[in-house]
Amino acid sequence: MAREASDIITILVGSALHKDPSDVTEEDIAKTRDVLAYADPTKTAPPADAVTIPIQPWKGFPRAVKRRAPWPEFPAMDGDPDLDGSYRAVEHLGDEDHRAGVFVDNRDRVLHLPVRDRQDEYLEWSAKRNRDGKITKLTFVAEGYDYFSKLFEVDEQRVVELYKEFTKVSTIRADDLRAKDGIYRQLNNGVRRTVAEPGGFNPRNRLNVNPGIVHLSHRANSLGAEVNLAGVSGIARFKADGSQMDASDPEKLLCCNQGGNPNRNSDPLISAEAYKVVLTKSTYTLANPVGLYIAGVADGLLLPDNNTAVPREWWKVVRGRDLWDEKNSRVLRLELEVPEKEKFVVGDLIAGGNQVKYAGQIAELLNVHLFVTVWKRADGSIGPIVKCDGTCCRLRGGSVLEPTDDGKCSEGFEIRYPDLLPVPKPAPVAAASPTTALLGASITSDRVSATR
Amino acid sequence: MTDRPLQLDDIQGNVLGGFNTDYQALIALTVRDPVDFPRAAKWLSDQAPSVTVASEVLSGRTAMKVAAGPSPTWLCIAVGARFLKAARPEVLIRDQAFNDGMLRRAPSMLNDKTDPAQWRVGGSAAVVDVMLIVASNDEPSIAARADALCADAAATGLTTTYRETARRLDDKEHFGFRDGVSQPKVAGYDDDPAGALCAGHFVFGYPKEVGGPPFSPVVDEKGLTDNGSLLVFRRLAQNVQAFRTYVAEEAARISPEWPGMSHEHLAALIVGRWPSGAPVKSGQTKDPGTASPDNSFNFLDDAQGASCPFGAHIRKVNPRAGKKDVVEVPRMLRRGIPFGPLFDSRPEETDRGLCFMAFQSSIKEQFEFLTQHWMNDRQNPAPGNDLLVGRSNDVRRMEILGPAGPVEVRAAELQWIVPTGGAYLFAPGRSGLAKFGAPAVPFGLWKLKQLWARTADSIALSFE
Repeated sequence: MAREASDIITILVGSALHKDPSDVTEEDIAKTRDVLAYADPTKTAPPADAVTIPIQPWKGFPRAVKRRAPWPEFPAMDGDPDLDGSYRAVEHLGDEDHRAGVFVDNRDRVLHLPVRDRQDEYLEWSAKRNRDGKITKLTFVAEGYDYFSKLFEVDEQRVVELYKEFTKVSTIRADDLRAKDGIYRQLNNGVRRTVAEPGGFNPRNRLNVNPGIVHLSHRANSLGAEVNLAGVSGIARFKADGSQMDASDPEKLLCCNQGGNPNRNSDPLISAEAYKVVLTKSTYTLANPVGLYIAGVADGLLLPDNNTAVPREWWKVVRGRDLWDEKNSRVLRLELEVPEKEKFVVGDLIAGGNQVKYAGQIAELLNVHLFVTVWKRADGSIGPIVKCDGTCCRLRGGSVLEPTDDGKCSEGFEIRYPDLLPVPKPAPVAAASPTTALLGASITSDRVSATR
Repeated sequence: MTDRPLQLDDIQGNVLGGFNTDYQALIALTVRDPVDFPRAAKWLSDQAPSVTVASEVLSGRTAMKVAAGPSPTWLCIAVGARFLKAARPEVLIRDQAFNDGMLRRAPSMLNDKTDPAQWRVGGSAAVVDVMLIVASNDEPSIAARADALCADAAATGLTTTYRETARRLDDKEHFGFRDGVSQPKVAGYDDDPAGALCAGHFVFGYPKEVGGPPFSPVVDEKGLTDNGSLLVFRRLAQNVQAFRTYVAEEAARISPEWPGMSHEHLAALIVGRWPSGAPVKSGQTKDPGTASPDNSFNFLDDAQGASCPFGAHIRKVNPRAGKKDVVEVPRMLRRGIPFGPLFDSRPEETDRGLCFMAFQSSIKEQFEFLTQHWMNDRQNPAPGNDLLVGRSNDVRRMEILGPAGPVEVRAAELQWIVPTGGAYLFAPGRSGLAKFGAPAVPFGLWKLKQLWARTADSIALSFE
């Protein structure tokens, strides 16, 4: 995480100084670091009066799946508790979490590496079923795959032990978890991105999908993404007309700072919560240890009598602590199982008046959150105010947002927030008046210099 | 993309705009013998011309207000899932809540553990197949029309299992607070487009956002559901004395931490508004009074809950731009009306409360979400229980920020609001209602799709 924190500081300093990040010097960082609202905890220790608090939780069931309901490919069935198809859709295994392309190794062999590619709110889950198809155990995790990648670098055997413990597969070896020849995403546009270095941990290994779950697997469910999001949210922004962004529209704010996926609940809401800290003239950083945690479970799961709440002790915190204390809950792995002495299983419990047939029925009850450490700024300001890094386009006739850093939209998309970026300079043959063309730049310059 | 104009000659008038009359007769009808479903469906379709549509409410509002003596009556009709399935088996609304029904889902989704056998409406012995709402400013006119409708319905096998006349109380509910202040505006219907929501949040067949696809979560090749809306009806009994006693005792309990705290002030903090409808603000100790309560505020500048506590009812059901756990705030068109006499005029009468009614396009994602995940939840959309209406398995708590710091207000089990029944219903458009009378299609395309899906599902299911 240290590298992500350092990188984001470089980007923020670049924004504050109107420099490309590649031109930012160590001196720039040293001079500017302390005026930023986001602090790199490896360089700036929180003061003694700093407080660590949870931000408002978000729903663990993916917003994107709900927004697409009803799902035509998952038709309604008589007596089934998934009339709109969301519970089946969310179980999809595939590679939708990456941009269109294929996975390859360093010998250009195509790899098939499906994961839970629709569970994108920093919560993923797995259901164990009996011979009758009934759920007997549910496991929810909120632990980033990049933590396991790092752990694999320093202690392969510990990762193997955790995998054995959580999958109950005693024959697992380190090589089963290793990306021997690397993993790369070969995008349809020709770009190739590294997923795992040769010999490193394979975050999309099959053992994390079947027979169980050890950690998060969706590309965006990483601690690195969390750090990046926290970082880019930690600087005040202004729109193309010079007016300051507020946090009233989390989607718009995220489109402005380009910190994540605006179609989720998590990213826009995390960004908005962090941004509110900035506007209260405070500095913050992600609390140590950096993590994403299950924040709590809502009421709504009942015994087969459809009347009595499931006892809390049936929820087992396997990694982490304090499930029922929302101000302190740091749960990384949570399991639900009915004690053996009972005459029924999880699949006999009732949610929404129906037996639990799908894990999603329970996932809807879970919240996720993270912790920040906050302290008041000494200078009483909100720090630098910088322009938006982008905006979003919206699918025509739809609601899906696509971030864009230059205001240009893909085929089939149209601009959603035209006020975040300056109007692109017209082509030379149809040049606008000098005043118009300079408007965005002059405002940008004035605003930043006035607030530094 | 140009969004579809609202079909005001088809959408029922109680959905958009709302009846808002002084009196409303609520009638629940039940088919006792399944053989009567076709006759009942035919009768229902025959009522289509007389159901009151949105354009008629718009044009008739003035006449309704000024009429002296016998006045016009308006009619709203909605059906339950059992009736829809029996009458039009080829039609399916893909809303889990509507199909399962309130009776089945109340314990888990609404945390309502009351005995359904004691429900006044919609209980285990009386499924609500059809609901009629007759509205007017003249009570005898309502009674006459309701009598006629019930008699006609009975002749087709529809038994009246609940009938009640509700009355407005100067736009207040029984605890004395102004009600219905915050209603979402509907784009294309309300004159002021600022902040209006697209009609798809409330009516089938329209986008949920400008330029978006129409929201029609249905299997319905004949268009019966087009211009329809899902209605939640819930009968909530209010114990005024219990609420007053609680607030007085709790105000006294916390007074050492917040000197001078009055029961009126605490009640306002629990609600989030003063009885006049004015939103609570930091520093106030009395109702400032207002003729037209402000609804333009948000909680962006109240990040600590200093003005309006996080657990205040109005903040729990509509966090506006404040803390929340989902990006979109679910909204409903609320059409509730009180029943029973005012407590202070007839304290010996105990049956009073609110006939809660709300229209939406997804009961699961709107009414049930608001109830389960916000009103009944201690954590979302911001910390604290809704002490006014929230139900919880724990002692309920909310924090208010006093002059000397945070003060915890506590309440055990919710005693001043007791659910006494209700139903999840579908209010079709006038043209959709007319289609109920056509011969039933016994085996629709959706059945074939179901069979296909089941087959695929059984192949795909792998046991671990």
